[in-house]
Amino acid sequence: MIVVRDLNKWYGSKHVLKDLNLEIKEGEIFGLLGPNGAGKTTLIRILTGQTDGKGYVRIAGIDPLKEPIKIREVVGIVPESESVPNYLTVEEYLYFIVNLRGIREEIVPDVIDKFDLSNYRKSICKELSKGTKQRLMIAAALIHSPKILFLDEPFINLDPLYQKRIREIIMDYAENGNTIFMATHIIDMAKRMCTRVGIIKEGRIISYVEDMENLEEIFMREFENA
Amino acid sequence: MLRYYLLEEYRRHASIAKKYSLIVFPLYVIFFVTIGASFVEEILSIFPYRQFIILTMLSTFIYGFGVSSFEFLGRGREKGSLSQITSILPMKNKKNYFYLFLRDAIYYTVFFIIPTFIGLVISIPFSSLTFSQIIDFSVSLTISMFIGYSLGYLSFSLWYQRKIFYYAFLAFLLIYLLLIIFSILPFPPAEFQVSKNPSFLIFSLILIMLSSFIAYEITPPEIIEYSKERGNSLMKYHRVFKNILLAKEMEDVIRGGIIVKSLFTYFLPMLLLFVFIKIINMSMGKEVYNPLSLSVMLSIFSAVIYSWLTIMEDFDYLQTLPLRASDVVMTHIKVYFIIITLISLPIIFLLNSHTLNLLPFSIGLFYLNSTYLLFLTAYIAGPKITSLLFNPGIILRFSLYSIVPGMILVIGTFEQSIYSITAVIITASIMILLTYINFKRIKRKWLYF
Repeated sequence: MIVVRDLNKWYGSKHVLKDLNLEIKEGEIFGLLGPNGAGKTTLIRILTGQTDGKGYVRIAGIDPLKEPIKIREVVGIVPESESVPNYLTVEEYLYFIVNLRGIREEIVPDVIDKFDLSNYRKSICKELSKGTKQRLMIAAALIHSPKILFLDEPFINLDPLYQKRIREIIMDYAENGNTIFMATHIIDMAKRMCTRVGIIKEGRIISYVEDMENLEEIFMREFENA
Repeated sequence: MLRYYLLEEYRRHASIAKKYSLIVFPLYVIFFVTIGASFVEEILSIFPYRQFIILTMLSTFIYGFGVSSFEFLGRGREKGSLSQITSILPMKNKKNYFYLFLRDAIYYTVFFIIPTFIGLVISIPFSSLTFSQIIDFSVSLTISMFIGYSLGYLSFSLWYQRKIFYYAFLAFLLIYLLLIIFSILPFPPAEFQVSKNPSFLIFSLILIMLSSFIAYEITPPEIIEYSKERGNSLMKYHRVFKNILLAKEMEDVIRGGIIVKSLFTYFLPMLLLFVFIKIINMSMGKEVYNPLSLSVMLSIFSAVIYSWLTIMEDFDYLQTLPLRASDVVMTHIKVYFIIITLISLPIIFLLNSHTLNLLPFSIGLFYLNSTYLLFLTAYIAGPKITSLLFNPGIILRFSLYSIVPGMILVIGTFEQSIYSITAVIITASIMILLTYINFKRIKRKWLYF
């Protein structure tokens, strides 16, 4: 589903991703675990066609380096920052997305109900609480039923109640055989949700972990040895 | 604390332009002022002295008010800027915005006022200006700028107190400016320059201090956009425009209050220019500026609207959708045309009110120069106009590409001889070609946000 070979990215003279290799199968819940500045967000931005890079990348057979718009038609993306429009209401934002993606408008009320956004239907998006914004962003990312969902730190700044609710939404989505790529630095969340975790350090994936019981120990070992 | 605000502003621009490039910017100002001042006698042979001074001081005042509105109501509230994170520090919000005020006062002094003064001094050997005249003129110019700047600061505080106060304040200013233009009321800095009466200078200084003080005192403890339920007007716009991105941008323009916020950088300068030219034509007893040359001049102000459109919101969420940055740029261009057609076009009709013969050409030249300038700006700056400001390399290219054809069009339309008509036709053809090239290049250049 996702294949990355020898991927490199520079920001000016700063080498952010260094010959990065990665393979993710269909239906996996893959966690990209690493400290701040390791290259997680940059990797997601390249895989989802938000910025360029050098190397071989295929997402469901599409090369995001050559077809950045096509890849965004296919996948769902939840960015790290609370990113919602300044002047649209929740309902308008979802209508905006379905029209932009060419989906029928009738699904909007169902999506609003499913993500428990009914009370905020007519509220301006930027005035919502962090948790509600995050739910809205996930709703917007899943509205076209993508086969792959990219999440960048989806639990950051959320209280435990919202963390639980958002985790449930994501797990529901994964149960239908969809693929999830989640960047996080929260070990506990990766342990609870992922089927496999890649540990990223200074722009390279240094190890893969499938035995989630030992994830914390392996992670600490990788960084304490440095 | 002030130094951190200064540092933030410096780094914001240094991240766009190169560090050394910032030093070059005042040199451009010096260069253009020196050239302009060298032609002061020629300018004064066309303009009556008093009108020229009032026009210069009022333009500077409006510029001060415009940049202040752009900063306080627009760019200064960008996510991640110091003004947005100080709420977590033991610091009053009014102090936070006062630092913004001081920061920009310092920057505009360093980047515009001092270089203008130096440019005027350098021009002494080539002009009839004396050093004492330059001192007087610079003082008048500085107080004009700071009256505008401090009133812009005051208008920001009023906007966040009650929107109705802001509208009332703008209406009051508008009436006052019209009374100045018709010589019913004085504009203190211009009167100081003309009469050398120090009471106008003292009055101006008191006005600057008083409006800054009131703005400081009434800045709300926190900037809250009061939430209220809104209907789904996006779908109404969508039905009208048949384009969801355009519908969203129109929603942003309406809900973001862009038209009102940009009043002093867009609508008022156009209106002032129009009224002034009418007065000059009347006092000269002939049409110094005809509707054609004025239409070209008016189109320059339209470019201001594009900068407001680019600062309305962050693009983070748009990056997650199947959109190119150029899609957003092209949508801004469409919104721009809707706005200028609704606001600038009636002024073109006003300009041609005495005779309709030149109306089609006026409209044609207005749209030609507007379209040319807009595509040039959009190609160079992309979805975020900030890259255009303070980058001397970009400004130089922009100046060359915009001033040269604009000048040819303005001068070419002064008279209707075969030579001027040929010059206008050739220039217009080149502008159309360049606009088409920029239109094509925008798509290629602006893929990522």
